[in-house]
Amino acid sequence: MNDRSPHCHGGRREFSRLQPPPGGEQRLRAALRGVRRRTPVLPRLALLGPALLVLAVASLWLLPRQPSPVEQALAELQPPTVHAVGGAVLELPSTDERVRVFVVAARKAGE
Amino acid sequence: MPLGEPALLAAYRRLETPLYNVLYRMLWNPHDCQDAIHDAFLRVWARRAQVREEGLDALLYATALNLARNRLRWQRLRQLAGVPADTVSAADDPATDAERAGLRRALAAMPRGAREVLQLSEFGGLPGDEVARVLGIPVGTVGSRKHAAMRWLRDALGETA
Repeated sequence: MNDRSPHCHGGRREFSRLQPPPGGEQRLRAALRGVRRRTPVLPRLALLGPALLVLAVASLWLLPRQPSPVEQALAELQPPTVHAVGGAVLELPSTDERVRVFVVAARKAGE
Repeated sequence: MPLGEPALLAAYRRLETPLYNVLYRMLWNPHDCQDAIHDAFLRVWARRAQVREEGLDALLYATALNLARNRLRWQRLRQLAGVPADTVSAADDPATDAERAGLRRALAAMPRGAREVLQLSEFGGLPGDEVARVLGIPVGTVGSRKHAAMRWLRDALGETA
């Protein structure tokens, strides 16, 4: 960059070199620091994907599992009240330990 | 190699004064000039991934010129709308000097193409090929526009030399 004046205007004051107001570089440095602190938008968006994935996996473990229909039915099952007079209540073996099968064998009157 | 902060700051130290001299003859306000230069550097920094150091100076000049043109358009709109211009104190404004006021009038009346060539080459001190790169015109056109600008100025300022 030179400091010349136009050939036909040599030395005229309106072509003189002006000095900018001071402090411009400090202002730019401060602005660049501000820009650097802010993470650009794209990397922030790129972080969003893995974060959502972690949340989804965690929710599988943390949220209560929905019971199957069989488990729900068994949970709601009330043990029957058996009134057997003079009869026998037999418990039959079951393949499912959560299920107990009872057989009420009533005795005929007089037997 | 992408643009780094040291290169940008070095460019600021190198170009602040010539850029200021170019923009001052467009905006005639020290604070507007400094703001436009500041904004130009920040804009280039925001696009640093695509900026190469080889073309940095021309890009900064072109960006600063664009910002100054936008400011001028905005000032004209304000004038049309009757909004008073921002006040500049006489101490801040060397254009109150009679000689500079004459230059200001002459530049304002000059065709834009010739004016920008003159501003970049005479006030910014850019060589012809760099002026061509900043304005996106052939080097030969720079020469002819500069010649026209000088003739215009000579007539407008009543050159005696």
